Amino acid sequence: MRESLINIRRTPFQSLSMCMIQVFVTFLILVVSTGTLFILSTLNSVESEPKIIVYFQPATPEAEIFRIREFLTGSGKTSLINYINKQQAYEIYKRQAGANQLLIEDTSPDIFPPSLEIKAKNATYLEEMSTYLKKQTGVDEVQYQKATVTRLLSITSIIRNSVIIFVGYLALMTILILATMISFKIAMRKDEIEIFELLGATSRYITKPFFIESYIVTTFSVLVGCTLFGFGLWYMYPGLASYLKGIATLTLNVREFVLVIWPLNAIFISIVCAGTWLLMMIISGISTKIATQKYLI
Amino acid sequence: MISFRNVTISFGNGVTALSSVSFDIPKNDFVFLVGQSGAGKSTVLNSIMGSHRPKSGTIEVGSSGTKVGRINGKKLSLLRQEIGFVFQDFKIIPYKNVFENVLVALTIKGISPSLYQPEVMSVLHSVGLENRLYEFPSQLSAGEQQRVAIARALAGGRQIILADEPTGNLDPKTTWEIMRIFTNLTGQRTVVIATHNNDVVNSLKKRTITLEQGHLVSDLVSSHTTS
Repeated sequence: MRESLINIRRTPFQSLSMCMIQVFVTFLILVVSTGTLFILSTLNSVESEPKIIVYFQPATPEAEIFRIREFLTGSGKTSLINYINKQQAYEIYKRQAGANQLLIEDTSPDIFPPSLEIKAKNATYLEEMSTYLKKQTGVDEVQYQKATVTRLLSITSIIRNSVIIFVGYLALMTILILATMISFKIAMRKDEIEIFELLGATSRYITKPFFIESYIVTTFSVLVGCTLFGFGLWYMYPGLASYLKGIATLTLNVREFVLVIWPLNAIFISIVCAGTWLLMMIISGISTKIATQKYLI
Repeated sequence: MISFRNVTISFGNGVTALSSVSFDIPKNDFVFLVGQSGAGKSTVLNSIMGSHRPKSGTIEVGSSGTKVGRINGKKLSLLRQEIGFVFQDFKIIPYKNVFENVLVALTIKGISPSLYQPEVMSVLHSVGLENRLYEFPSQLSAGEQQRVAIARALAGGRQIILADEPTGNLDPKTTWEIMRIFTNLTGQRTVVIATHNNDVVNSLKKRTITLEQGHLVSDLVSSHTTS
């Protein structure tokens, strides 16, 4: 550790360059990943809004409707199922008709179909549910906005893929830049490395300080990047809060874990920063491995 | 301890640096390697270190008789940990002080940190630098820098000491000071010194292997030929 700190001090320009590029990349990754998580959680929230409305034939017994409801609830794919019986459907109709008595005359609850309003946990389940419902006896019509759902899924996919390509490009660029800078450091210590080799140093002994040095610089850079990002969020928070005024919470479901993204909270920011640190450490490790493999072993 | 059997070493450019060279250096022997520039002295030392591989013949080095021509990686490192090397240009690390320069040889061998202080002090005492621990190479004279290099070569109980023109950059007075340190090792370590300083070789009356254009032309102990 001490040796690595001395080496950082001995090559200040290379170390500073490594640090600056990593602060920049860390900041970019944090902005892009946080922004993406915001967009994905917003889409997730919108995705769960589209629902299936299934209308039954007026003569369908309630027991059959309840059986279907139980089955869907048991599947774990729905977030809400609302049963509207004939009487409730009639009440809705009356509300919508308002003061127009002509529309209400000669109508009775018997002519209105009972229905189920189903909200899915994920939009991808809607197609599957629709297919299931169409096969059930007593089902008259199944309605859901297939085009909207497909478009939302497509947007989500495009955003995810774009971010993966962008972060992948950033990672590759960073690896190449860091590997080049570490190569400079190795070149500057060529004589010393030659002495180590003649004294019987193993390649692990020679390369270990370069790895420690890289990890120290990376950790410091990520700390600086995260601090800058934190200040940025703090500065932008009031504007963001007024922009997202209508949205109480934004969440992302990761298996059983529900990650609250909005309102901003320490857990979310810690997870994003820790993930970025991990990614940067991997990038740093790969860069050092490439440089040391090429020039030392 | 060191055995050359019909060793031929050629380089990529077609130059044959050693041609069918054979000799044995037993444990704790003191040997001079002499010859003109280009005779193959440095090649002998470098091949003992495993830096040059023989085209034919075998080189065995160390207490376990490691065959140098066939090893690499970790085994080569372990072999080199048995050897201390002293160079004409000292090759000490400029940004480390005397203590740290010697310490490197111990950390490379993985010696316990509790032994660092006594071991470093012991070898620095043997070269007369025990009072210059925290000085940097730029604050030392050429002779003192060479002493640091010798202390580093001795540190960690390295049993074979190889020196390539160790007095080539030194004045006559310092040359004798350095040679005195080497001769004090007689009977304690295997010492092989490549030099073309005839005064030193003739005065010390040690075993002398003479090389000429890659051929071994004589191997003399004091005044009689052994092989």
